[in-house]
Amino acid sequence: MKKVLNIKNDIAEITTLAAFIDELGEELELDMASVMSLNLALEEIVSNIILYAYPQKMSEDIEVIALETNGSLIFTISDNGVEFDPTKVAEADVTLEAQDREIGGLGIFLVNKIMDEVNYTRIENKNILTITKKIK
Amino acid sequence: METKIEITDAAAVALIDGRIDTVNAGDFEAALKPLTDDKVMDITLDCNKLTYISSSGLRVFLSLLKTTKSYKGQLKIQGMKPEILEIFKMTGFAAMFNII
Repeated sequence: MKKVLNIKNDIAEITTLAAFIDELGEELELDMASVMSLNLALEEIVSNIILYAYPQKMSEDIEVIALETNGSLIFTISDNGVEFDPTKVAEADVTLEAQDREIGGLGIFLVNKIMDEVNYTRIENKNILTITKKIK
Repeated sequence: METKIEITDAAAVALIDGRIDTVNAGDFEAALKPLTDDKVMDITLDCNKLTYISSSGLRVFLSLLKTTKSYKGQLKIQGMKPEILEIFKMTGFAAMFNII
């Protein structure tokens, strides 16, 4: 099974993304908790792209491809914005007390926790992030 | 997402309904701001109807916790669904908050 979603770098598109993941979850008969965590991982990645990849804020495309194969769900998220490798971002230290907590770093931490694999490549001026979750 | 605030004496309960994501985390923060502006000493976030939260929502929770602590107020979370609690555990938030 393969599904493709094309969205713009507009934060309201997060709602479109959520509907896409819900639909995917229904088709693959995933449980609610799995759908929620996939939604979370995808939102963290896509919202980062929307908020930071295009400083000029022009109407740019973001593509999300979902592929289900051999019991794994593979998402490929690509954009042609500023070069950014989320796998190189320092993760939030989740053991700190509230007063020492920094804002930020939580998103990518959640992606790494939820997904089984997270890989980044830059090809032809595109950021391509591939994230995989075993579903069976 | 909708946040309904009920205030009695020095206590307030915020009933959160729906999802808190990057799109509406700012609205959620704005809905709670009057409570910390007034330094309400006892704030409860009722999460029975909270269906989803992303890191942008977690940031609002954290900043609310920091602000209430700054004036020695109490912040409690009640009725959290297991899958939301899981995210709180994953991120170490479960240890920071008073979850009842």
